[in-house]
Amino acid sequence: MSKGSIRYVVAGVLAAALASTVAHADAIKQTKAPIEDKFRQLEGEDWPTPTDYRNASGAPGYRYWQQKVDYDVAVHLNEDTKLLTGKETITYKNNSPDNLPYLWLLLDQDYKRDSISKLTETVSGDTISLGQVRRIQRFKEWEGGFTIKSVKDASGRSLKFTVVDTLLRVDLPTAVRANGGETKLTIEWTLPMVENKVVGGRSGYECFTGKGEDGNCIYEGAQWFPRLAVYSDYEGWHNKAFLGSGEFTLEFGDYRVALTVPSDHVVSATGVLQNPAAVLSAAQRDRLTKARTAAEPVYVVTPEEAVAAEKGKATTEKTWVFSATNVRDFGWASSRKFVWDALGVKQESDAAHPLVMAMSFFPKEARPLWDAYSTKSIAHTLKVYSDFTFSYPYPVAQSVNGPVGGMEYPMISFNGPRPVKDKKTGALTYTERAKYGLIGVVIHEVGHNYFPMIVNSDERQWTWMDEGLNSFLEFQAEVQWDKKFPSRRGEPKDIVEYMVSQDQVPLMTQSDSVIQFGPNGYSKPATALVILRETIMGRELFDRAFKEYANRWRFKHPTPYDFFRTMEESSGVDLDWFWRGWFYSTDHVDISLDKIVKARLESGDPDAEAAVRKTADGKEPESRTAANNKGQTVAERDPKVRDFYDQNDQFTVFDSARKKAKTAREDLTPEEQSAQDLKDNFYRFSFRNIGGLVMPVILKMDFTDGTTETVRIPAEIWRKNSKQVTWQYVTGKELKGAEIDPLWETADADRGNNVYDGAITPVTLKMQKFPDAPNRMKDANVKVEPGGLGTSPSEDPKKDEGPK
Amino acid sequence: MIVRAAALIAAAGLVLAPLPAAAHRGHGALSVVEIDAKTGAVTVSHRIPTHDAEPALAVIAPDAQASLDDPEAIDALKTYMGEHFAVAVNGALVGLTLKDMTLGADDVRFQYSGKIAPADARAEVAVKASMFADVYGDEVNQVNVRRLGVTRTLVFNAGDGAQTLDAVDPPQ
Repeated sequence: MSKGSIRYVVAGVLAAALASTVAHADAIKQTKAPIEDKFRQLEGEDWPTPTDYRNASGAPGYRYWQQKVDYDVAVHLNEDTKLLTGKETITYKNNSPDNLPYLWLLLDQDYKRDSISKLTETVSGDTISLGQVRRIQRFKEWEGGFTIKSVKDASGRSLKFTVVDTLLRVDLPTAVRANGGETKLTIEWTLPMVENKVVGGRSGYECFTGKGEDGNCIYEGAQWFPRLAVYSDYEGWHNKAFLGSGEFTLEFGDYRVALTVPSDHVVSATGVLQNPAAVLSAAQRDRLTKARTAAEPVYVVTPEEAVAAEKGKATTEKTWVFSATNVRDFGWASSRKFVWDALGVKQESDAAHPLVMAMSFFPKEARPLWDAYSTKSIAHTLKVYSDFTFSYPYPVAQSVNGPVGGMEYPMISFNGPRPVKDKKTGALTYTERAKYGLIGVVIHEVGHNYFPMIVNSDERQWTWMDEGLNSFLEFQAEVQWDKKFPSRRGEPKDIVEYMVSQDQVPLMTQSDSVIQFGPNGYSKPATALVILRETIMGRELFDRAFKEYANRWRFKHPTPYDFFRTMEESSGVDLDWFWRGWFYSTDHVDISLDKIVKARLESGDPDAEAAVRKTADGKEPESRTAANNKGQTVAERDPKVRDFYDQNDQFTVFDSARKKAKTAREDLTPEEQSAQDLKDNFYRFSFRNIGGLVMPVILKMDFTDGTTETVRIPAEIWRKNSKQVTWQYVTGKELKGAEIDPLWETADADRGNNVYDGAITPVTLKMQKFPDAPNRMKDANVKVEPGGLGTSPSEDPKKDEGPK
Repeated sequence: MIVRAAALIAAAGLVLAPLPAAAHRGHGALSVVEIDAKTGAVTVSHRIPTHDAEPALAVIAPDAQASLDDPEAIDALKTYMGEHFAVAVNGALVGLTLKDMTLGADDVRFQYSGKIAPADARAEVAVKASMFADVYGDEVNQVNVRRLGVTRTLVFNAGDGAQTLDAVDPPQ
C-alpha cells in the first residue's frame, strides 16, 4: 500500500469513527439555527435499548447470562528451541438462549504473521538499517504464531476448523444447546516464543547473554493457548481481529494447567500451586508458609538459591501444576533466575478470602529495587483498590520482572523497571524515576485484576473501560503511597495539552482506531473520573456509585452504558452532559470570565439617584474636541444666550420629582418598599464557554474586607446557552476581584482568561413594577358576587375611572 | 517554499530497526510548538511515554543499557530526538536548543527553545516529527502548533514526512 493510500485509510478510519458518533443524533436535531444541546439525553437515543439481560439502571438484568469455559491444559517449554507444545481440553457451557453451531477462539499470537496487523505495518525513511534487516531475517527463519495440530471432540473425532486472521472457528457436528448445553473439545498446538526485546509484544523470552552475564533466560507466557472468544448478549460472537492495540476480553472459567519446564526453573502462574512438594524444597515450602503471617516479605526462593541455580542447567524436567477458579485467562513465567518473595495480605472484611499472598519473582538484575518495592506495592494496591471496589477475590497476586514492561493477566503481572549498573565501575544505582516507575507500574498492572480481569469489560472495543478506570485507581493508590508521587495520569492540569489538540478521537472510539493511545485510553478517562469525584459529584456520591458499578459487574461483562447508567442511577445525579462532553466529544474545557458588572437597586429617592448619576458622569473624561478648543464658546462669550438650562443641568432635582417619588413610594406595598430599600450589591458575571465542553463554573470572589467566597455553579448553568451566560451574586460586600477554577480542578486550558482584571462596571437596576393586567370589569367600576355572574356597581368607585 | 522546508527538515535522521507494537498500548508522542508573535520566541516540548521511550533505547542506544537511568542511553536519546524532530518557519529551519529534560516515571519530557523573526510568526510552518516511527510500526505522533492564540494539530503516522501549516493571514 502506498504512503498516500495509507494516509487516506487512516483519514477514512478517523472520519468514520467521528461520523458514527454524530450519526446517532441525526434523527432529532435543531434545523434552523446552530444550537447544540450539550445536555441532550443519552437514554433512549444514543444508548442501546435496555433488555432483560442488562437493564436500564445499569445492572445485569434478571435474565443476564454469560458463558463458562473451563480449561485443562498441559504445556511443555523446550528451553533449547523456545517452543511451547500444548494440549488443552476445553469444556464450553452455553448459558445463552441461542444454540451455537460453531465456536470462535482467539489466536492473538498470529498477529505477527500474515495478518491484518502485520500487513498494515508502515515504515519511514528511505534507507534500511542493520537492525531492521536482522528483524526481517528473524521473521524469515521464524514463522511465529500458532500451529494448530488438531482439534477433536470429546470422542476423539477431528473437527473442522478455520483460521480467520487471529480468530479460529471450530465447526461442531451438533450445535451446543442453548440454556446450559455443554461441549468438550481438545486442541493440540505449538507456539514458538518470541525474543521480546527484538520482536516485541506482551510475552516472550529475554536471555542474559551479554558480556559478563550468566546466559540464562526468563520466559513470560501470555495469550499462549487458543482461548474461547466471548459470546455475549451485546455483540454475539466477538469478531474483531487482534491488531496489536486493543487487548481482549474472555469468558470466565476454571483452569488446571500443568507446566513442564526444566527442573531448576521456578514458575509463577495464575492460580495456586497444586504440587508444591514436587517442585519446592522443604525449606522453600516452610518459608512460603511463614510468609503468610509475616510482617515483611519473606524469600521463598532466596537470592543465593537463585544464583546457585543460574550456574547450572538442568537436563531433567519438572511439572508445576496450577489451579485457578473463576478467571478469564491464564499467564505464567518461568526461569532459573527467579528470586521469589511473598507476603500474606490480610482481608479481614472478607471471610471467603481472608488472606492473599502478594508475591514477586525477579532476577538478580532487578535487585535491590524489587526486593524493596514490588511485593509491598502489590499489598498496597490490594488495599486501595479493594476500598474503592470489593475485596480481592483471588488467593494470590503476583508481579514478575522480565522482558515485558507492563502487562496484566489474572493474579499475575509482568513489570519491567530495574536498577542500572555503571559500565565502567560496575556500581549499581537506581534513580527516583525507576523507583516510582516500578511502584507505579506494579500498582497499574496488579490493579488490572479489578479492571478488566474481574470487572470483565472488553478492551478491544472500549479501551477506557479498563485502562481509564484502572489509571484512575492507580492515581488514587499512588497519591496514597506518597502525596508527592510523580503521577502524570489523573491531575486535571496534565491533560490540557492533549485536550486542546484538534485531531483527537472521542473516548468512545474502538481501540485500534484510537490516536494517542496513552492520553486517550488512560489519561483522559482517568482525569474525567478524578474531576467527577472531586468536583462534580463529590466523594460520597461518586464512591458509592463507583463501588456499585464494580460490585454489580464483578465476574460479569459490562458495557460502557452499564457504567454510565449505574453512575447516574446510584448517585441520583444526571451526568448525560458529562458523558457527552468527556466521552463522546473532543471538546476541551476553556471557560473565560469576560466581564463583571456591579449593580445597585434604584432607591426611588430622586436626590440620591441624581447624585449617583452625577458622580458617574464626573468620572467620564471631557470631550477631547471641547478640551482642545482654545477659544471661548458662544455660551461662555455671550451671556445673553445663557438661560434656565445653563443654571439647571440634567442632575438638578425639582420638587415635582420629589413629590412624584413620594407618591410612587406610597403606592408600594410594604414588601415592595422593603425590596426597594435593599442596599446589597448585585454582581453580574459574564462567562463564555470557549472550549465547548460544559463544566461547572467554580467562581472564587475576593472582597475588599479581606474575605473570600467560592461558589460552585453547577454545569447546568449552560443548559439553555452553552456559549455565553451571565450569573448574578448578591452581597453586601465590595468585590475586589474574581477568578474561575482557582484550584485548577477542571482542566481549564487557558488560565489567562480565568482571572478578571478589568474594571468592574457599575450599573443601576430599576425595580420593574409591571402594570396590572387588563380588567374591563374593574375599569367599568362594577363587581360580581360569589353567588352569580351578574354585575352591580362597585361600592367604592375610584375617582376618574367612570365610563368615558 | 514547502519543498525547501521539507527538504531541510528531512535531511537528518538515524535509521533504526522498527519493533512492532510492544506491550500494552499504542505508541505516540505529544509535542507542542509555541510561537510568540511578539518576540519570535519558539518553544518546543515533547511528552513521550516512558513505556515507549525506554524499550526503544534497545534500538536507539544498542550499546547502552535499555534504561532511562543510563546516561549513555540518554545521550543517545537526546541526539535521536534532535534528528527526528524539526520545525521550519518561512522556509528556514529553527535552531532548537535543549533547555530542560525530565525523566519521569510515566513520561519523559523535553523542552527546547529557538528564535525566529517576529515578522515570520504568521508565516508557513513545516514540521517533521518522526520520533520512534522507525522503532514502532504503530507510532502516531501529534504536534500542536500554537501561535496567535490558535492551536493547530498535525498528526504523523509512521512513514509520514514533513507536514506544513499555511501562513496565517494578517488581520484586515
